[in-house]
Amino acid sequence: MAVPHTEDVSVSGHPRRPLVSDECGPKDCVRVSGQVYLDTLPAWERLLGDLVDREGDILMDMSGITFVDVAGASSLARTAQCLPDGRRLVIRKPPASLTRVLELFWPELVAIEVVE
Amino acid sequence: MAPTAEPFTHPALFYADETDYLAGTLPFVEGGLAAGEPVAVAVPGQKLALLREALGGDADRVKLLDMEQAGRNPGRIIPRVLRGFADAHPGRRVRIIGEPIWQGRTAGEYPACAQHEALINHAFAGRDATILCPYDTAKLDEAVLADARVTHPVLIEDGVERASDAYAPDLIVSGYNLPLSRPPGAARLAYDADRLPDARHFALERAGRMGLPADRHDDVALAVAELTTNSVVHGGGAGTLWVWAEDDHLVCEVRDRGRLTDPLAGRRPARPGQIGGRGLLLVNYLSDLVRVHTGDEGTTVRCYFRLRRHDPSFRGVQTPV
Repeated sequence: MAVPHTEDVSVSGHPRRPLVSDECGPKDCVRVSGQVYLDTLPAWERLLGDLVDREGDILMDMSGITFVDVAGASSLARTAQCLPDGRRLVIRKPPASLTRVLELFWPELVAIEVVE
Repeated sequence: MAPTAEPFTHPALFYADETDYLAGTLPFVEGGLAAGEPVAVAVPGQKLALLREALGGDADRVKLLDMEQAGRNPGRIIPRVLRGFADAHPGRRVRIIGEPIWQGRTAGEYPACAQHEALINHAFAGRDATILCPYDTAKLDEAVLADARVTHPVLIEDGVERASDAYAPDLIVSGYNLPLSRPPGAARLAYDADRLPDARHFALERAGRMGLPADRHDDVALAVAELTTNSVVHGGGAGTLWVWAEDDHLVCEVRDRGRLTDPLAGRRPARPGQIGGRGLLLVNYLSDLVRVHTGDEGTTVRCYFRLRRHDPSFRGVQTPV
């Protein structure tokens, strides 16, 4: 039997949530904070494009990212797939939503390394 | 030009007891192994144990899957189980036993099961494969067996194989495209592009309150994100989300003004390099059941998540097939 838990509820609209990135720590690590979804996808893809243009491995601290949708995960996977041999994308503390999607759709993608 | 024989075959096997079951399935498996064809068996746990024992040492050469887990949501059987196996063996003919309908299937699950059986014919048209679907005539309703005659071009009964006079799978796809009724008092949120994060948080907050295990919260967030984003991008720019608890499940329903015209949407496996096209597929992978109603007035997609742990592998799909 269906059990209604709540009545009609309204949630106050939050302001748009930007995606924020800045350089942090050694080795050109980029820290990204926010949520990756329809609204922030263009900024996310711009950021990934900029990082590809750099030298060496790409280091991203994702401890400040709370959510990545499938389109955002796809962009990340595509970025890793396009890296020349020997370059990797190293992501620190990705949100569980991202890990779950990468496991489901790109289980053999070795160019992404997840670190704590 | 002479007509080309359809390489895909999709027989229903009607069985009444275990002897019948083994008589219909064992030669199929052993014939495939003898011919060097990759063979998979995706059937309910009890039947899987029966076949494993009967196969003896040959069981190691067969991909064995418990359909009650791998195919709990009928919407993921085609991409994850059937094509998952077939695509892993490119260029080779494969044999699969797929038993998606068993006595414990609920009234909510059944329409999705029947549509799944019908859509196999489209998903595998032109492919080199045989998918044999056993039906338990002693335990399943006559209406279910009647549907099986509509969804399968070939029927095997009492050891005799014949073409099905009733074969018309699209009638099942459209016939089970049924309006979905919602309980009164379900929590409701209208969303548009500006409120996509709100929709996710709205569902998550209720999932937490209803006691959904914490390791499934991301499944809910991802599924709701994909469905609501689809509304914004393809479904008229806005939609309404409802969330409620029903029969031990958290239910998230999304309605918008879009119309789903591709019956295989969400059932084609994604290629690793493919851009886009993973949203509905992901919803199928993560949910325990997905029901869809689409028409001129719009589309409703409803996904179910079990609130309690029934078994150790209760979470959606885990590892690639």
